[in-house]
Amino acid sequence: MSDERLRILHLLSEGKLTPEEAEKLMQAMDGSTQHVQSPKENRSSDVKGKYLYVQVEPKEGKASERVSVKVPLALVKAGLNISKLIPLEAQGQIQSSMHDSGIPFNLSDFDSMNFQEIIEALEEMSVDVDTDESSVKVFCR
Amino acid sequence: MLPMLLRVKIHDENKSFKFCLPLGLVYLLLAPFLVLGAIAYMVLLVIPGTERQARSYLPLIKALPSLLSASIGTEVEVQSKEKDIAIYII
Repeated sequence: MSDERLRILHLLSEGKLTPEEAEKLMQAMDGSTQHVQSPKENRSSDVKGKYLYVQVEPKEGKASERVSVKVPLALVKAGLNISKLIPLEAQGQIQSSMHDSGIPFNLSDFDSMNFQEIIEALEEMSVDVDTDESSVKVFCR
Repeated sequence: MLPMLLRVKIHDENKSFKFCLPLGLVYLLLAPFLVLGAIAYMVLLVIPGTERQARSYLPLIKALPSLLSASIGTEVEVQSKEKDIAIYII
């Protein structure tokens, strides 16, 4: 039980608060606790219905292609999940070949904690790249 | 649920066509290979030298359908002066 609740009960026992007032205060505390918790719940909620967009728009008068890719975040999540299931021997081979290609990447770094952080970061991510030829946007929605 | 439909649209200067590929048929076509793969995997499980390694791949194999089902909703659109191509996984 939190300190605030104990304090309310203490005030109630001393008669400084009526039972109705104590109830109202308790309800208000519940509401504020739920309010504080809800963004976290939202963040850790399912990625269903959320997409990772990659859009390449050519600048006016430029002949480059317009590209639009929409990938469900669930696919990214499933991919990250599967990366954890790769056997250790195979992980070693993947890492060494990626390291040889100049991409230092450690699959074992994906534990359940930073996995959730990656998904949350992706949901809030927005990348804009502007060049003479085109503009590239990467975002989640 | 696995994706069941692949929609492809190709729009050219002269012609345009679109088609829907029922992925259920593709899965049916691939079913014999899946059966052969399963048999080969079972053989690997029986052989003492490869049993441990084969077993370590089991969670990965089990998770592969989830990757497929997560691909539902993927859309790729490429538009250029000559051609427009759009692919949707439904």
